[in-house]
Amino acid sequence: MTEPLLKIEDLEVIYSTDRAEVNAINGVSLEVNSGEVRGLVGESGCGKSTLAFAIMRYLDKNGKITGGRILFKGEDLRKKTEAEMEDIWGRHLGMIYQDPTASLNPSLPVGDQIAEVATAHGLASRDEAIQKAIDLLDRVHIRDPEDIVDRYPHELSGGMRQRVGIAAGLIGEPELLVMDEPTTNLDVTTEARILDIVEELTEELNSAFLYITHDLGVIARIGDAVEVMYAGQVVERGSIEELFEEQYHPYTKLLLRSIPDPEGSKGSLQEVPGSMVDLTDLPRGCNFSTRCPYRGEECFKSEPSLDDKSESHSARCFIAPIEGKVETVSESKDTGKEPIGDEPPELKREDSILAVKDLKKYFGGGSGWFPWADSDPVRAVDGVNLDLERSKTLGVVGESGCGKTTLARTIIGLSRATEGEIDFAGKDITAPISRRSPKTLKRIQIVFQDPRSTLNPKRTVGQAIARPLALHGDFARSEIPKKTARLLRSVGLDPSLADRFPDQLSGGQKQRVATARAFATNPALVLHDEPTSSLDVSVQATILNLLLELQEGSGTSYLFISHDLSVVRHISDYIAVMYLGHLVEYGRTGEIFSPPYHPYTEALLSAIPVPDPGLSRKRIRLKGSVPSAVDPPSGCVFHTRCPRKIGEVCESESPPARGEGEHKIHCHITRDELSEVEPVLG
Amino acid sequence: MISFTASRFLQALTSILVASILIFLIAEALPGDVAQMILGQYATEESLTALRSKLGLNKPLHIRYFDWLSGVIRGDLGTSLSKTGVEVGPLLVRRARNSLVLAAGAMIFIVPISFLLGIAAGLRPGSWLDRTISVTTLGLISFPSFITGLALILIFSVQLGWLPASSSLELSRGIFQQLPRLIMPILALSGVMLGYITRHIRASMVKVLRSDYTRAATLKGLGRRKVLTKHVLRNALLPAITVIAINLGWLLGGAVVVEATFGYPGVARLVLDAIKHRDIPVMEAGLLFVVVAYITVNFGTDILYTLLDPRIRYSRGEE
Repeated sequence: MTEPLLKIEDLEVIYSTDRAEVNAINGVSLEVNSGEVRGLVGESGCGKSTLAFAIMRYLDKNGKITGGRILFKGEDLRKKTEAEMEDIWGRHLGMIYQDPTASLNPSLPVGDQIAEVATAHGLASRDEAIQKAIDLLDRVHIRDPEDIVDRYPHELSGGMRQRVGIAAGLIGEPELLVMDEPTTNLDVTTEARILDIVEELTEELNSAFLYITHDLGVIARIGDAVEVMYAGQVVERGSIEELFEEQYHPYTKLLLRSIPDPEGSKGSLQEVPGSMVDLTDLPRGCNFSTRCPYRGEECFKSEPSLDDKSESHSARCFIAPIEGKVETVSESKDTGKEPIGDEPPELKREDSILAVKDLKKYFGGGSGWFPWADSDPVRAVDGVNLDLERSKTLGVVGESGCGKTTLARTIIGLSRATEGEIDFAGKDITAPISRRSPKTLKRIQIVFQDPRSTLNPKRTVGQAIARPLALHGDFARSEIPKKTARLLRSVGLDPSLADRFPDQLSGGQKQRVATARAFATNPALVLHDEPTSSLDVSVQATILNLLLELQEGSGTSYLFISHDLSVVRHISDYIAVMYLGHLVEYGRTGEIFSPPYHPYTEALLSAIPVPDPGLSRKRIRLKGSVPSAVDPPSGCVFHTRCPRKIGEVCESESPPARGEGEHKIHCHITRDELSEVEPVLG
Repeated sequence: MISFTASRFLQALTSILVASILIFLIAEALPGDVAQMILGQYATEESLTALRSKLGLNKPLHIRYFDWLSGVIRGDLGTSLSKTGVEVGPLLVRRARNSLVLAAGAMIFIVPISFLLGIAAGLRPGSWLDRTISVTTLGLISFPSFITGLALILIFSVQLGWLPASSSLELSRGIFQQLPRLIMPILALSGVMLGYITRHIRASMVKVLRSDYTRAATLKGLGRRKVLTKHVLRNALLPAITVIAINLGWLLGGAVVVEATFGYPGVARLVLDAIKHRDIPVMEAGLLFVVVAYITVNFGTDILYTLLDPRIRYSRGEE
């Protein structure tokens, strides 16, 4: 057997902070062989990124490798000097980063940023390197690469920036490429394109890939083998086929079940109970014992080792294999949650709570200082009709730039509608927020995407929740602390957290606080703008379950915005698919997920990463990126990217709504023809 | 780009126009009667009336404003009231030249030093060098320039006798022959700015060095030197342009304290003296110069920044 390309032995990394030492990596051993794609999966804080940067020998100043060896091509990287590492970086050991925008120099053309790797290592002259960059951009399917090399990063879309990042990683032809969550910040459709490219590259090149992600669905598609990490240790390792067939470690099992199944239906998701163990104070015995639903006595006494369960499958667990199906474990169930809201909602089901009629929201445009500086407006939302019943959830899906967030902001009044009408509980509320009655304000709330930036860092959790209570509540101020505690309990948080500042909470906890704040005024409608897209899959499951539970208790209606159809499926009764400010399909959740589909919906569905390596699905990939909303395509706005464009009619006429009951598809293709496609899922 | 430049230019012009109205109104609001001031306390009522009509003081306010403005545009700034017969135009030009020399001298001194210090401190945050630079620059910022000025006079003029205490210039000699007189005002002016720009660059360096793209550049194996020159410096130094511009604008008209301390004949002191003597034409002209200088420098910076920063260059349409 040949020596593995990368061999890590008993690696240990410690971060020193003011308060304590964080044991980020606690004895990791793994191997990566040439030509393979090895996945590294785990929740935030499991140490996967630390491991990646330890391999690169580029830890933060307070991080230190305290033990073990990192053998790369037989040589220990720990013994290399900085100057020696400079020869290895980029040439033998490349890296691709999570945030393609931040990882590119904003003031340098992207071609230079790719080419400089080759010139720095003396692989090519500058002109040759630029030519190589052009070839590579072409290889990652960027159109007009000769033109793109001269562009600056901000002129490219997120997906294109990541392809530039990949090209920069490839140009030095490194033997090992470390990819640190390269698709996490991207749309599902863009992610699918990037994964296609990675897949192609892994087949063509003999390089090895270490692919880091929190999403098992992604690994199932492109990996050969996978390492599951928890608390700085590998807890399970196996070939893709075996690991997805059977999971020995309870953590892997739970993690896999927490992914929303695109074939599932509205209902509870599996959760991984509790949260990541405190890395400054690891428990005796198994690190997962604090969260494990199967733990036995021995788990607290000694630490399990990573034992082989079969030839290519091992797990760090005393209990494994776990027989039978995993019971649904919902953390929220056993915390004694209280129903949210005081008054029983005045329910007249089937009533419309929200009706949006021909809503348009244009930004900018109009006249500048000079006639030639006049500009066309950005048509963010361009004639959308929606209807939402009481106690129901309407999911709004689409790629970045489709206008879904603008839609939410206009409904709640943060943006003034350009045209059209918004009715709330039968009343016209189209006016901006400053001219809405306090009662209306109170009844519509919003939860934003990034809980880090929506909670004031200078205010405690209690203060954040008390504010809407004081503003809109009709009760004595002395009751506020009691109500705050009640709200915290109802979102599954301990009331003692009221004194904490947002910095002291995890991402999931912050999003719970934001949810509690939205529910403080007992709203009839809550808008959720991608509330889970910045969270881990396992945390996402707990938030989705919480929202379902809160809705059951309070009868609140939701408008739920996401770019991920499988997430939307779990929470929605109705789904609206948006593209470039237009509604392209609307219907009950079940109707959206089976034919007939709008061609755009079909593409979105086929892009969802499914944690099932055996599944070979239809692959429908959209060309290019969403066109500019300043100058949208004529006729059907989707015709420039539509894989099923039928002809000139698509360019000249806006498509009719082809309906059957509530289900409407805006397309020139007839409903019968649209029905003839094979289902994407199942 | 052309449309951007043109619209910025129009904005600058509008600002100057608005400022000219304000300057004119301020001059109007000053207490005291100009005619009385010229003719003295014992002037007769007839001679006062005659002078007022000669000066056009009995015309309505807006007419007088337009008279003044059209004079300014034609280059006729009137005659001084306190220094009889002296034309304001040439006087202002002389003083403006002095102010420019002082500002330029200060900039030539400040910019390289603050860049050097800022980069050195930012490269190794927390090191003894960084701490020394931080403490020194904080000290420089905290000292008002008249204190620095007096201290300089005490040391270099009174104790050592190397430099003249007064920086008043002799009209007969060219300004460059009198450079030693410029040294102390430049030093006094530089303290605060040097500290300010250095700290700005240091902060900017630290931020860029921690950025993801610096990490990415390092892990491409470019080597430290190339990472710094190609990726770090440009992005770290660019924001300093704005800070420098604001300071330059201030130097051109706001260095009142330093000019007064050293008796330096710049625009700021000209305006100060004019206010003291109710010399309205000189005051108006001086203030207008300060405004025009400030706005011009900022206009120039906007254009320069646009040329240097690709993000602004291309994304303007999406504002």
